[in-house]
Amino acid sequence: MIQMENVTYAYEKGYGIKNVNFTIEDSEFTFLIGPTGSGKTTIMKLIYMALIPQSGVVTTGKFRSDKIKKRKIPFLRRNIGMIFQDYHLLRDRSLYENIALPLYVIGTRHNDISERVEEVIDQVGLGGKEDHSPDELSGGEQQRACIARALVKEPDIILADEPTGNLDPITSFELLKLLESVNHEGTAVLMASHNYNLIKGRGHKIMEIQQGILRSS
Amino acid sequence: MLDRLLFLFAEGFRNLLRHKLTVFAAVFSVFMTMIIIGSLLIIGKNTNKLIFFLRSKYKIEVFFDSDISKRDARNLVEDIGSIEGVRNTTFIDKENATRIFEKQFGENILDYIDRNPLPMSCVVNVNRTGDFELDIFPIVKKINALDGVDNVEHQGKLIQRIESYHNRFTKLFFICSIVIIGITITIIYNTIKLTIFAKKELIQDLHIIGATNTFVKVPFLIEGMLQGLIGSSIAFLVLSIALKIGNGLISQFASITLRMDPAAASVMLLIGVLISFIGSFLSVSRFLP
Repeated sequence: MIQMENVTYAYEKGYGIKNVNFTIEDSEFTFLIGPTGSGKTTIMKLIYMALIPQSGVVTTGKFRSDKIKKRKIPFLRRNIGMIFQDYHLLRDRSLYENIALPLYVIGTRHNDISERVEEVIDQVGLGGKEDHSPDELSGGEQQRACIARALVKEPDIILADEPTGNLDPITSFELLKLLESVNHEGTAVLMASHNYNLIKGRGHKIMEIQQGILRSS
Repeated sequence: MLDRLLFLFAEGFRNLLRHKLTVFAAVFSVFMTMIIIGSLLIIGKNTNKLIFFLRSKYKIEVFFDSDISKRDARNLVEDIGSIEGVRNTTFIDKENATRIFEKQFGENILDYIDRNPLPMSCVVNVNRTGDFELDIFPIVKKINALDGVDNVEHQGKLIQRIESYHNRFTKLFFICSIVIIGITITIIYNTIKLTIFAKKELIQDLHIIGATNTFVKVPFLIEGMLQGLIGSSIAFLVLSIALKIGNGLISQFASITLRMDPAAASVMLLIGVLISFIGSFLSVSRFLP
């Protein structure tokens, strides 16, 4: 479960979010929409505690922003899979190595890693491309690789920050369907987007944020 | 746990291979440092051996007045033996002095002169006090003050001078080593800093996927220590070869063999790794807080 209670965070420049309240239940698929600079990424960062609110409380799983110690933040993040618009794949590593990285971080046994990575690569439809470097993959494939990297550690929550921002409409739609299939298996998904056409009519909860204020949820 | 350690070690090794130029600079500086420190260690160790050898040869020869009786001479030898710092004494009477003369010069002095002109004497061995310098002069002064003593011969001044040079060399060695180590730590520090900057993306991603600070830092520390190990291993090999060649050349002129004992070799490798660890640790602490 993700919960924000009266959360405010302001950057020095003045942007951020103000008095935000919402709850996302386990296994729920939620869209967060709003124009660029409205505060979507700030909300994401507050959820994985790259930012700590200036007022209010963020709860992510069993971790609370007002009680968490800095050294515990990595353990919170191990339950979250992150997907970014600009992929964040490591250029000097193969697809396999990129996807295996989170498993080394959480201390999975080497033999189990290869099995799990192969499984998740097949799940996102990139079978046979294990040895490709990210530069050898298309934008859609790179984003699938990001999803695979987020899924590989079997997180409770997936945070997707504008995952379709660099993709064409067809690829964006395929990616959305992939995230929905992940959600059907029990993972909560929060997807930020400014593309309303993509998300409308999907039957999921939509939260709208404008200028740092959550308009509807 | 073991898999994670292997992964971190592999990451450190991978860093090493990825930034060849900066790594070369770091390895080369460790190599040069260890060549200098290693050479100084070898010189220091071998000079120490020479000092110990000279100390073991510390002896005082005391010649008695020619008109002194054998009994008085024996009493004097007993008095000398009781002086603090004297280990033992050997009395040499006129007959023994003749024998020693014959042994040294191949001629019996009594064949040329009808009376024995050689004085009675004694050889005084002093206590060796281990690592620190031995001041022989108070003993010499006390012997000289005894009635019946004609002359006291010793190599005290020469040995003292050698010891003084040795001490100066040890101090210089210490200062040089500190300066060189400081320079190398700075070079390693900067190499790791460059690696950290080059890997900013990876570091950011590792934090996002839940890596602890230790997990992020360890590969950089391993990279630094590998640089130290490689640099000092090469320096050790080069010094071993240089010693072999040097000993070959020296053996044509003198019967001295320069050695690098296993302890010195281990110290060299350890210092190399330690220097690199300190450099990388400081860098990681500064740039990956």
